[in-house]
Amino acid sequence: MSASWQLLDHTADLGMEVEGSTLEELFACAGRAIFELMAELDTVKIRVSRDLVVEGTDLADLWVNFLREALYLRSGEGLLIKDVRIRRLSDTALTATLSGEAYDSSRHELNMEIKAATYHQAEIVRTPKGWKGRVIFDV
Amino acid sequence: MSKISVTLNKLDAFRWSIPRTGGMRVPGLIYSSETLLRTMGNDESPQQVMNVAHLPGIVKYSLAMPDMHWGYGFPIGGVAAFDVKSGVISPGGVGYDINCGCRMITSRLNFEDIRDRLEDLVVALFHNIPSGVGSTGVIKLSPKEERQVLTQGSRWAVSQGYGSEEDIETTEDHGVMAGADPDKVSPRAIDRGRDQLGTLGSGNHFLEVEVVEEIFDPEVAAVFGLSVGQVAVLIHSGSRGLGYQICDDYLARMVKKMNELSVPIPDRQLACSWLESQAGKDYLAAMACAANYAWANRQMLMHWTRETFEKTLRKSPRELGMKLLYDVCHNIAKLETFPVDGQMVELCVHRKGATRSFPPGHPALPDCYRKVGQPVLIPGDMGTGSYVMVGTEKAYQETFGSTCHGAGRVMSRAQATRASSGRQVAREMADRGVLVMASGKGTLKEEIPEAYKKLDDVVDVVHRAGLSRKVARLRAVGCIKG
Repeated sequence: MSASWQLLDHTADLGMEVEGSTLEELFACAGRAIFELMAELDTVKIRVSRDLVVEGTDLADLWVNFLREALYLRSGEGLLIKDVRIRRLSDTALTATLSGEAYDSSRHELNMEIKAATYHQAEIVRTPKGWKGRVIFDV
Repeated sequence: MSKISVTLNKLDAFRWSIPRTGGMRVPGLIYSSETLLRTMGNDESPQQVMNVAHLPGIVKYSLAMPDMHWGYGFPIGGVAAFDVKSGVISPGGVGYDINCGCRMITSRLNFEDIRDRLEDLVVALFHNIPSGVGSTGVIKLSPKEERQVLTQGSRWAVSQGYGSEEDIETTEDHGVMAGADPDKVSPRAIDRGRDQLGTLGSGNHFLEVEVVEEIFDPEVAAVFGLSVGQVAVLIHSGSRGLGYQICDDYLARMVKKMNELSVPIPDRQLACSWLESQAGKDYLAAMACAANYAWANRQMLMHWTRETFEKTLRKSPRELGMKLLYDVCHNIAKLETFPVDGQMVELCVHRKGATRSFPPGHPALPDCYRKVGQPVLIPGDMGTGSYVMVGTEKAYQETFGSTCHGAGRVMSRAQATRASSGRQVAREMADRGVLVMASGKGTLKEEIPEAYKKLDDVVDVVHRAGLSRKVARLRAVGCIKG
């Protein structure tokens, strides 16, 4: 398995570029990356899991919708996620299991808030090594 | 992602037009200066001005203010007005932080009165005003109370004892937007709003203690109650998670229905719906809820600021005289009437990082300011201070009553963090005479002054272009950040 992410420069906000040898790896890496950005994950234990079922009109839409749902686990449910597994994936739908635990200010350190994953310049493209995805967050 | 070349035609010292090409329905019009345009580099905001010009029903031109920078979808600093009958509403043209805005509180204090107590004051403000990443407040709203917040805005806060009737008088739209319908707000958004009321938030939101440094227009300054040496407080915050979730929900809903619009739109983040469609009406009703939440939020933050001053300085409210000068929103869509080709037309004006700038005599102004025009509050970046300006007839005629909203970023957050690596930002600020306290460990580095355009340059453009006039400049002496 190989996947990696890096930040892109974008004046308003925060851009992220993710590479993966398969689409599943790409999505899983991005899902984990947003939590690496938001908090220190070393002290996060795996205690709870959430299954996500996400749809999109195409791959780019699915990509943004998946990240929107993953972000809601933090903003809506107060979870910190450190493990992401993509169970099934097509161009327009996926199921995934995200695991971690509830944020606890006595044990966990937050770095930043990501308000939202935007559709602006969101894309997924084929590369010689696999797949590359891009997304810009509002922070 | 292909980059399209942008043609900028200089019209005069402060205006550049972008001619109509391709699917653009109107030209672009950018207010800036040679100096500011040079700092833009690879910034794609002029391209975004062109993209906005593609949206159906857009009137006259797609505008950008001099603090313009690359946003997502709309440029930050963008203004666009749409015909209410044939136009669209775009959640991305309002932004995630619906009714992000600022308010200024003036006082009877002089800097000399607080100089020796400044540190105590900043520490006390930092402890009394909840701030930081995902901060939750001291208040948990019941479902019934939250509905009241969403429909009543500032008035709800005042009814609960946070401030007074006079505060409502000097808040844009009296702190309440009509047409708010909580049933159009998703359970997720309602949930996120429950425990975040009365919190500052993180990122570029702040509360600043300032001192009036210079008066440019003595007559208007007197009406606004401003004088040199006077202490004031500026609060910059918005609708927190509730607003972000409403934007997110409606963007997704409108993206899904983009093909129904049967109009090609160059960027998905510009997803929109006809103002007269169900989705358009629902968004406006939900957006109004977030606007009201933000007004209630700033009203509460102001109340705790007053309390903190009273306790720390051991002075009575009367001695302090902390009066709300004005409260403006700078991320909003409003139904307003403007002259277009000699006729008064009802428009939906999107201000995405732009401030309303209404002229003397406008009926929307409170009686106390009707003769001079609307107070326009322009915050700077962390620790720079701010400007108080006044609205003009020119803005009313030319920019749908709009002017700039702040300094505008030139560096990304990642660039700023790299540029400030190894530096003691809080110490640097203290050396410049500004006491800063922040909740987030990365916030100060991301918000270093070099990351922003110079506020003076931005304000100079809108002043000389006549979109708002300088009244006073304030310098920061204390700042709390999320």
